[in-house]
Amino acid sequence: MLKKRNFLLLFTLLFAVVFFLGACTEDAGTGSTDDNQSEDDSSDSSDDSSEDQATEDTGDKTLVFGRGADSIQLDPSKVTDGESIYVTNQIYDTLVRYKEENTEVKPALAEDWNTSEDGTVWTFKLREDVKFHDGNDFTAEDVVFNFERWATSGEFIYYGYMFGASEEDLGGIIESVEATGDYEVTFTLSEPNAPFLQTLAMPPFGIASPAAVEEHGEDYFKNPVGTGPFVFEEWVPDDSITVTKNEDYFGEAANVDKVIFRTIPDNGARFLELQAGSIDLMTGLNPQDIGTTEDDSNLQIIRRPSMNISYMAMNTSKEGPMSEKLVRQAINLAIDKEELLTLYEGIGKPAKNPIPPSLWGYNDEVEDYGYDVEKAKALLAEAGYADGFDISLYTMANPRPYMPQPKVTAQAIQQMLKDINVNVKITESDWDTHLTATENAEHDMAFLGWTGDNGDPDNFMYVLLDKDNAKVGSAGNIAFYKNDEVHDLLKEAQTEMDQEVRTELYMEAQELIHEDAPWFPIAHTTPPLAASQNVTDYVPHPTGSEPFNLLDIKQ
Amino acid sequence: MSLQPNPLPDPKLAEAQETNQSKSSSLWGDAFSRIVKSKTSLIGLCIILILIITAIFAPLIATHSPTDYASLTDRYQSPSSEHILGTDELGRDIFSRIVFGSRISIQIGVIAVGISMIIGVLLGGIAGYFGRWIDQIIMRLIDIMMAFPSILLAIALVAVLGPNLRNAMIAVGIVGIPQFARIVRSAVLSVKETEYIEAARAIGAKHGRTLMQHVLPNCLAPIIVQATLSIGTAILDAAGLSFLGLGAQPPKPEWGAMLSDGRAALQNAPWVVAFPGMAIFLVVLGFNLFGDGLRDALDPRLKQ
Repeated sequence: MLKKRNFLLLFTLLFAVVFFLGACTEDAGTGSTDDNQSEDDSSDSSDDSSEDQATEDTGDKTLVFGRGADSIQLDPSKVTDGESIYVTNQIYDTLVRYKEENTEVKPALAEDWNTSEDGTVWTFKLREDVKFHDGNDFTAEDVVFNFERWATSGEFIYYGYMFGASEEDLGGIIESVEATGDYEVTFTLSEPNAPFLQTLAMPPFGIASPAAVEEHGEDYFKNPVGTGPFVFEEWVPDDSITVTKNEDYFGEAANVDKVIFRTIPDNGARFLELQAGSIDLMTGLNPQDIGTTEDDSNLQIIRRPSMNISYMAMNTSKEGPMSEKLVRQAINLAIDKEELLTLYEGIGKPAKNPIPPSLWGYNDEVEDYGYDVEKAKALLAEAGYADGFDISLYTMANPRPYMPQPKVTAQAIQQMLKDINVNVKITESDWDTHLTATENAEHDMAFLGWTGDNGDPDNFMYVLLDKDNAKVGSAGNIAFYKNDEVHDLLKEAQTEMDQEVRTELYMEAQELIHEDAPWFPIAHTTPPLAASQNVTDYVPHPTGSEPFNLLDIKQ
Repeated sequence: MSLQPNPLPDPKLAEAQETNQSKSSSLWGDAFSRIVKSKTSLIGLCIILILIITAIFAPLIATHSPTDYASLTDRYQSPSSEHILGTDELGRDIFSRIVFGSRISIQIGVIAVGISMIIGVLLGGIAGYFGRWIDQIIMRLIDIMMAFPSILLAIALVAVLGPNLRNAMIAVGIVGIPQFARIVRSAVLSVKETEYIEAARAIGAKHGRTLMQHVLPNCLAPIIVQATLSIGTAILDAAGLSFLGLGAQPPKPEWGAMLSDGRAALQNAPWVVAFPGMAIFLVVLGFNLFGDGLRDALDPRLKQ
């Protein structure tokens, strides 16, 4: 009996300690110092916050946007992930913006612009009525500040990608950015750059408030201040980001008063929330749920225009079968693309080139390999692999907008390649691990895809297939495809200003790439979004995200 | 072996037998008759037998290939006479996949529990037998392991070793070690105080011999109970790892992986998820029921 009592005592003590510690942590959170009232305090404060939320939600017009992952940073110049860009697109403006439904540019912070004969000097005339969310006026000096900031270190990833900046040359092709007037900025480039204007419209080049950048320093990414149609309000990591309407927006002011970006990792769970009405709009709809959405009178399907590609890259840098052109061609021949595309549930069109057909410069003359097992076997025999071989296929575990079912697609390819005695071992990992592994050239074959950023073929061909981007460890070209002829064509197309000449160059590059077959190109998709019928005037942009000032919601 | 006194070495067992002289004198015979009397453990035993038979005769029972699809147009077919449990996201026959999956589940259960048992029994035996600082070191290490939520530890191990079925089994095995170590240690603590151990030591038996031949064999009952119960948990943990993409790699018909792959179609084709889920549920239930029954049967205090 004594033992039992001791045990009870111990148990009670333990509970007491746990509760005490619990109360203490709550205290730290609310900043209260009164020990006696700690318990009351904590319960009060939690009540308050939940009431707040309830009243806020029922007030003005609120759009709740459901998505699969949280933003990484709200400083767009430092990120490449779509989930960060989704939010920063609301908060920031770029000098020029894309038109609502395509990638032609229109004035934004810059009203007008002109370029010198040789394409190396660009002058932008800025709007004079723009204010940052912190109340400061927007002037030419602010543009200079931002560009100089991006050219100070390698952490501004897209600046490096787009302007050829590197550790040795942090500025890249931009030699200088000068304020040639209160509202005039002049860029001097070291060489002509055809996609320059398109590039400036990319969300990563959103202009931040210099005052806020200086005030917050390292923490700026949590306290973004721009000029965009929405003002940043709150970020609860892995839960939600809230932005509110910018009443003083220089463009068309937003129709909704508030947008809440909620993170709901599972596609199915997110769809259930949409059905239940707790979110209004969602990305990452499972293609299997398209039918259910269409049958539901409260819901609608919105299709994002296609500007992407999904492909299976074959690692040409590895010793063995994949370094042989004939083998890569044989693999292209041995996969039945038509049948494979049934796994895209009607959202994919077969791909034969690295760029989508909606882009200028697409070479429709290229004839896809087609499905021919006998010819594939013959090619393998010619290459000395008549008995087949073992090979790895790396795939991401989770759906991507350009590839709705990577795991299943991998298994289908695995079975199809059995017919030519190629024994595929699938290695499936989560998104981050997959990216690291493929950038490090661990794979023989790997799935990946790309959504265009600026509507220029350069953004697909140079990033994904040029030898400049085949560096182990940071490769965009995960086929590690190195062809000097292609490289020369792509480089020439970058500096050539005449679009017709550029089209010719890209056409030729596509033919060479087709012949070398570093990829098995799979599909171009129109990623579906699902929304409540209350959401109106929502026009998804081909680049993957868009400002929400034009859409509206009936409440 | 001559020193091993009788088939009822545990002093408590001996006591129990003294008060119950009319019963059979064999521990195992006793246990068996008690298991047969308990309905729930019989059900558990049946489920386990069905699982084993299914695994052995899988090629005969399955109606289709477990890994190959016939045509991608057959995807998500509801149960019919052609596919009695329907087809999955690639048009494969779910029944055949579950049947072949039973082999993987048994493999996981046996190998993972084997790993935990061998290492756990050794560690627990050494800790309990030698006591003092050896005991302190081993048991504190075990405590540290127990401080991690088991599935989290398994995920971390697989992340280090690399995701495949073999590593998943190793991870699940390692995670199960503390349970065995603790149970064996406490059993050894009581056994090593008995006279026959003292006798063995007195005639000069070395520590190793005493531990392996006299102490551990007399701690068998709790080890067997723990092993049976652990198989269910191991299958469940491995299915969890596969569900997260850290276990069996496609196209292996592992049940947890089937659950994970099918959940995208949960609303439209619930059978893709429901049947593998049911299979996991039944097998884990079977091992748990049987394990519980076994524990009751081997526990002398419950003997009436």
